[in-house]
Amino acid sequence: MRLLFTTDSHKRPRVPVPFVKTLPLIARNQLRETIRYFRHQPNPLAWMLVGIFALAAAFSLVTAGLKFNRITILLGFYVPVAVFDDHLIGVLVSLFGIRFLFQRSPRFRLQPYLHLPLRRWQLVAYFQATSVFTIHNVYPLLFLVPFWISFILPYFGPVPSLYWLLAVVLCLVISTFLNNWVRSILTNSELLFVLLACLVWLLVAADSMLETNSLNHFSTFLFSALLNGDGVMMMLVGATALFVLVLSSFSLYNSLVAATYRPVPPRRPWVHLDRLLAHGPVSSLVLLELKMMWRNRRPRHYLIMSVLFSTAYLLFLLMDENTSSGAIFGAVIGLFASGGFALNYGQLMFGWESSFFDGLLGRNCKLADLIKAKFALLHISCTALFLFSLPIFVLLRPNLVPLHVAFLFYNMGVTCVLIMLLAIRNRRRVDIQKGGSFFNYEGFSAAHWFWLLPVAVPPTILLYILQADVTTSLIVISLVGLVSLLSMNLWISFFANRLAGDRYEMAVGFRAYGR
Amino acid sequence: MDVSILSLNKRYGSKVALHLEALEIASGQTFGLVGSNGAGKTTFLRLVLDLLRPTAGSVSIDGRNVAESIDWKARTSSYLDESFLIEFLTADEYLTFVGAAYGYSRRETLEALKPYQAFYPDETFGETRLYIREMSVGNAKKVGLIAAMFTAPQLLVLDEPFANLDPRSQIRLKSLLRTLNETMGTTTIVSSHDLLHVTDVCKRIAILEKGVIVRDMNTSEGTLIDLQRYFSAEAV
Repeated sequence: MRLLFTTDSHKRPRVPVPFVKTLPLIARNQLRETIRYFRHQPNPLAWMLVGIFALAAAFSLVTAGLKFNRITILLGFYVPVAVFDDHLIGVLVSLFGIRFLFQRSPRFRLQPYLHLPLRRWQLVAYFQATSVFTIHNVYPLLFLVPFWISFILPYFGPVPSLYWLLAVVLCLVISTFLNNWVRSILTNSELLFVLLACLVWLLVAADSMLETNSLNHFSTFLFSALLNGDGVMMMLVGATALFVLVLSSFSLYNSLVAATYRPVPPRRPWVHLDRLLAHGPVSSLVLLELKMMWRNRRPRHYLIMSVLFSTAYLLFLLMDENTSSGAIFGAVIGLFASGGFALNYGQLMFGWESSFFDGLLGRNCKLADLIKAKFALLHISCTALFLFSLPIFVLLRPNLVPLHVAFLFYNMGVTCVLIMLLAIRNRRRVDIQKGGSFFNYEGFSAAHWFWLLPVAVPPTILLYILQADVTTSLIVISLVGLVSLLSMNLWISFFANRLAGDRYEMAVGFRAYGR
Repeated sequence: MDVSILSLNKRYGSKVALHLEALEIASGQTFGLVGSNGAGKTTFLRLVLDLLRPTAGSVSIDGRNVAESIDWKARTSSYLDESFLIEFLTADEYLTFVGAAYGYSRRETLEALKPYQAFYPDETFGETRLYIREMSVGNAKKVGLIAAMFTAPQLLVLDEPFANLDPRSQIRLKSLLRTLNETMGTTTIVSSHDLLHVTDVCKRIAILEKGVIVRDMNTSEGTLIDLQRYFSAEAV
């Protein structure tokens, strides 16, 4: 019999393997993961469209950077560098907001390697470094570098120009690591994150209300100093970048260590709520979904975001009369104030259940009940958010209360149906527990990005066409919603049939992406 | 409940995962399915439970095609893998949820669970605190198996029920399966790699290889040795 194992264990590599040797393996895995992600996109046409948009946006950014003076002249300003320096930090802060919504956390990528004999510090360092190479840093540079070539380099000399460019790049790096840090905070303590978010909201609100424009003043001060060749300022920017790097690396490392052991907390299950609500299959399914939302990290974050969007975000929109007038803002306010949860959480419905979808299908669980439960949840959320945000409307903009009411009907009748239509197309597994997964976009497809168009465009068009007669447009929006709401039994039957037809593909998709 | 398979075929691309010309599992029969990894056992069970679309053919339970009717679900119960568990629930919550799907009230569920308490001794039903995701693999599996059994199904479908269970629990499970079969007349389909347990529990055993049933036998005293010989020969 041939021996399968040899005893020459001395030939095995030493453990832990030197990081230089494992680094190319991890890099290769990352590359493979990226290539496979694009290969497995179910809709290549949608991704081609995204590619064309991306190229067009890149071209526009480069052109805008090279010819920025023409844009500033149009706006009535004649010194592009002054305009730019004044707003640069503000723009970077806004970009941070976008980054926070879309950039993937390195923690998410680290997890498959944690059980291997690799030093965690090295893993953290590697993934922190690679997190800099993201589209969120490439796109700003597509504008900033051409701007620098056209308006900084020829006029300010090599050293100040270099300082300026280096500082801009370091600001992007700071933004990247700050994002990683904020996400680590969220992983470790949701309460701390919410407090921090509230503090930032308050600071920005105070800055805006008091018209101090601190961000603009700071931006002008910083970049003017750099263009004057101030080496100390350059060192301060570098030191800040280093500080944020160390801070986020520590935080990331600690969150990995914390994730390895979590004691079971003492708890009282929802016995009373179970007794109150669990009567019949539909209420059992609603209760199941509520428990899922409360007990699992990712759906819980969607819940938090929905409340933030419907209150804090709304507060800002309603404070400023200039921004909160007009068809687009009317539609945005109306849709998110009461439909924020449906839009956020609803789009991944069925995907949330991917880990136990087979169990639901295999048991005596009627598909119509499943659809009824989902609609019930969405309708409850619309009503709850409506009531939650109503005092804000009454206090800040009472004239928008009719819009709020009209969109309650629209959201319950139309938005919920459109979201269900999107949700029933879900074929990707979602890990509801994955740590550090705030906005990790697992479970999303191209359709999710485009779906806001059919949801938001019709009421926007209606508000725009009938802007002279707002009352009529709001009545039409309400009626459309109400008619759809009254036809809910037909919708339930329609979706139950769709679900019955699609159940195999959904089940296969939910199984495949998890293994 | 009887199960009839007719010209059942499942392909993944060009690969045939399962091809069964005809198979009848009579009402009240205990049917065991054994075979190597990738032989098509889980595919077969998923097709029986209508979790996969067959490429061709049909599965009928009590004469009704499972893909065209859901009546069979009210009297069928199953546990294939962890995807049948809802891991953010406690055992009580999960079993109450399953009970509700079969028309049991909370009180009726707790009553029906009493015979299964010894099989899951770590927590008392009605007072469970641990989420399923916090349980050991074996305990989580026990909860899944109990969920499949306590509704007194007429058809019970289990995939690898003995894996990950400690010896005492394996013996208790065999006893529970026998009791269900003898008292309720439950038709049982069990897939397993454990030849000893499967021959203990099942009165009929089929060997599945590369998607095809190569042997179909009624269990007798010599079945275990036959099966061991078959798989030993395969291994050599």
